[in-house]
Amino acid sequence: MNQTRPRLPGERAFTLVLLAFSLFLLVQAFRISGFESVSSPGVFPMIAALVMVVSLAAALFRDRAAPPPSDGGPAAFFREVTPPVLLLTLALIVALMLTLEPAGFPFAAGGFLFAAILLLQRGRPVRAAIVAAVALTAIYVVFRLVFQVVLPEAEWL
Amino acid sequence: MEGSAASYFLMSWLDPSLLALTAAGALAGVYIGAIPGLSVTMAVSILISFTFSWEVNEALALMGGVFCGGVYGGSRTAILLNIPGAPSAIATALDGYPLAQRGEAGRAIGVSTVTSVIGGLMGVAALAIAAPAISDFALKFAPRDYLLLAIIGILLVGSLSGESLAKGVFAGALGVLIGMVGLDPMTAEGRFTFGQVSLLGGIPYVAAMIGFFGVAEALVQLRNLNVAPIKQKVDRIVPGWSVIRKYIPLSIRSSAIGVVIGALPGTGGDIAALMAYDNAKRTVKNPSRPFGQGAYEGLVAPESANNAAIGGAYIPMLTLGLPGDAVTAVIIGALFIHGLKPGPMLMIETPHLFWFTVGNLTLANLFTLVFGLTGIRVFAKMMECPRAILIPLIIVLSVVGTYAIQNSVIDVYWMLAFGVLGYFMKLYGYQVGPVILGVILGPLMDVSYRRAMLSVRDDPAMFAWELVANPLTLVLTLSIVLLLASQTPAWGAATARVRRWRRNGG
Repeated sequence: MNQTRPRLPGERAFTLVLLAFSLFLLVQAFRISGFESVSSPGVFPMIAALVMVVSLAAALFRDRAAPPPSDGGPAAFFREVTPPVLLLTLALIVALMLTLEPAGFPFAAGGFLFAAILLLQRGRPVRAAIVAAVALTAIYVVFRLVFQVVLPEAEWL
Repeated sequence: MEGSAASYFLMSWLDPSLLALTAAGALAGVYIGAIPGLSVTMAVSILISFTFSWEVNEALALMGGVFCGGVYGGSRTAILLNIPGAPSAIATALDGYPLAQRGEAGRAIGVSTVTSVIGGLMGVAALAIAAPAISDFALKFAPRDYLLLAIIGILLVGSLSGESLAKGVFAGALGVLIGMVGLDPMTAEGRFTFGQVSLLGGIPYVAAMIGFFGVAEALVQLRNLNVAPIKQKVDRIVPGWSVIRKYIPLSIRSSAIGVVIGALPGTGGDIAALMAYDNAKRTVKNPSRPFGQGAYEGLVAPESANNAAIGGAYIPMLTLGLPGDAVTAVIIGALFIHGLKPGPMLMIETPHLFWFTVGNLTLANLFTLVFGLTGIRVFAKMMECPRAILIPLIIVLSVVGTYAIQNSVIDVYWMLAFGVLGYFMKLYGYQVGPVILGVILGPLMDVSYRRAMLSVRDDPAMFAWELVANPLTLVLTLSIVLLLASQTPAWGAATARVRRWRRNGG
C-alpha cells in the first residue's frame, strides 16, 4: 500500500489545498453547534472534517518518501496534469453549460459535440459535423422522445 | 407467501415491458462494460436521472440488466485489447489477453461468458437464500452497529482499492461531509449551507455521482487520446460442453469467494476477481497453461467471482441499507428517489421488491449469456469507436442526466465541479469510490451515531463500553481495529516475523 510511484507535478500542492479546505470545513463544522453536547448536529461533521485533516496529514507524511517529480515546475504541471487539450475541453464544457438554457439543448449540445470532436480528432470538420449531427439526433430521439426527459428549450424560440 | 414470492420472482419474466427493459439493459451493459472509458457505475448514475419518473420496477429492471451485462462486458476488451473495460476485469486481462495472442480469443470469450453467468446465478441464489435470514438478524442491530458497519465499508473500499488507506479514508470522509450539507434531519438546523437557500436541500448526490464517475473519467480519458486500437481475430465463441464441465468446479469455488467479498459492505467485483484469481493460482495444481501465459483457469476464476459479487453486493444493500459496492451505492440512491428505504424493514414492508430483484437479476444473467455469445462482429466495430467521439458523448450524456434531475443548471455546475475535483483525485491516487459511499452512508452514520449517543444519555464512557459489551458490536469494533492496524508498519513487521517463524518450522 506504500506509495512508490514518483510524485506528479502539483501533487503535494493539491494535498495542501485539500488540507486547507478540510481545516476550513472543520472550523465551519465547529460553528454549527460547537461542543454543546456529544449528540448535537455539529459533532459528526466535526468528526468527519477532523478525519479529513488527519488522513491528509498522514498522506503528506507518507508521500514524503516518494521520489519527487523529475520536473516539478509550472511548465511540467501544464504539460502533464492540465495539458491544453484538457483546458480547452473544460472551456467547451463551461460554454455548453452557459448556453444550455439561452440557446436550448439542440444548439448548445450540437455546437459542443462538433467543437469537441473537432478539437479531439484534430481537424476533419465534415466528419465532426456528421458525427455530431448523428449523435445529437440519437440522444434527442432516445432521451426526449422515448424517455420523455425534459431538455432545455431555447428561450428565444 | 410462497405463491406470491414466485409471482414477484416471475414479474419481469412475464411482463413484456419489464422483459424488454431487462434485455435492453443487459445488451447495453455488455457494450458499456466493454468500451474502455464507459463504466457500469457511470451508466447507472446517469440512468438514475432518466428513470426517476418511471415505476420503480421498470427502473430497477433496466439498472439490474446494465449491472449484470456491464460487469461481464468488461472482460471482452480485457481479452481482446488487454484493456479491462471495467476494474472488475483487471484480473481477466492477465490470462485473457495471452489467450487472444495465441489466436484463442473466441474460445476465451465463450468460456468467460458461460462462467460469468454461472457466477452471476450463484450470486443471485446466495442473495435469495441469505438475504431473508440476514434481514431477520439485522432487526436486532442497534444504531451503533449500523455506524460500525458503515465505517467498515468505507475503510474496506478505501484500503483495498486505492494506493493508500489515508487517501481512501480522506475520500470517504469527504463523501460523508458532502452528505451532511443541508438541513439536519433530526433538528432541521442548517449545516454547511453558508446562508444559501439552494444548499438547504443538500447537494444533489446524483450530480456528485455523475461528476465523479462520468465527467472525471471522461477527463482522465483525455490523457489516452492517442492510444491506437488493437484488432484481434475472433473465431467461434460458443464453447463445447466438455470445456464447460471441466471448469465448473473452479467456477463454483470462485463464485463463493465472489459472493462473500461482494457481500462485505464497500467491496465489489474488482476485489472479488483479484482474490479469486489469487486463490486459483494457489490452489489449481495443473492449469491448462502456466498462470499469466493464457491459463483458462485464470479467466474462469475472476469472471465467475466478479459476477457472483453482484448478488453478494445486493445482500447488504437490501437487508441493511449498506451498499456492497459503488454500483449498489448508486442503486440505493435510486431506491431513495423512489421513496423506498433499503434496510431490514424493506424485506418486511415490500417483500415484492426483494423477489422482483432476485427474479430480475436471474433474467438479466440469462440475457447476458445470450448477448455474450452473439453479436461479436457488431461488438468488434463498436470497440473501434475513437475516444475523440466517445468523450464528448459521455460529457453530453452527463449534462443531460444531471439537468434531468430537477431541470436545474445549478446541478450541472455541481456536476462539473465534482468532475474536475474527481479528475485531480484520480490523477493523484485518491479513489472516488469511497466518496460516493460516504455520500450515501454519511447521513446514516450521522443519525446512527447520534441515536447511539442519545441511548446512553450523551455519556461517551458508556458509549465506549457499549462498543465492547455486546458480542456483535464487539466483533464489528475489532474488525475496525484490525483493519486500521493492518495498515500500520508494525503490522507488516509482525506478519513478516510470523511468516519467518512458520518457515523455520514454528
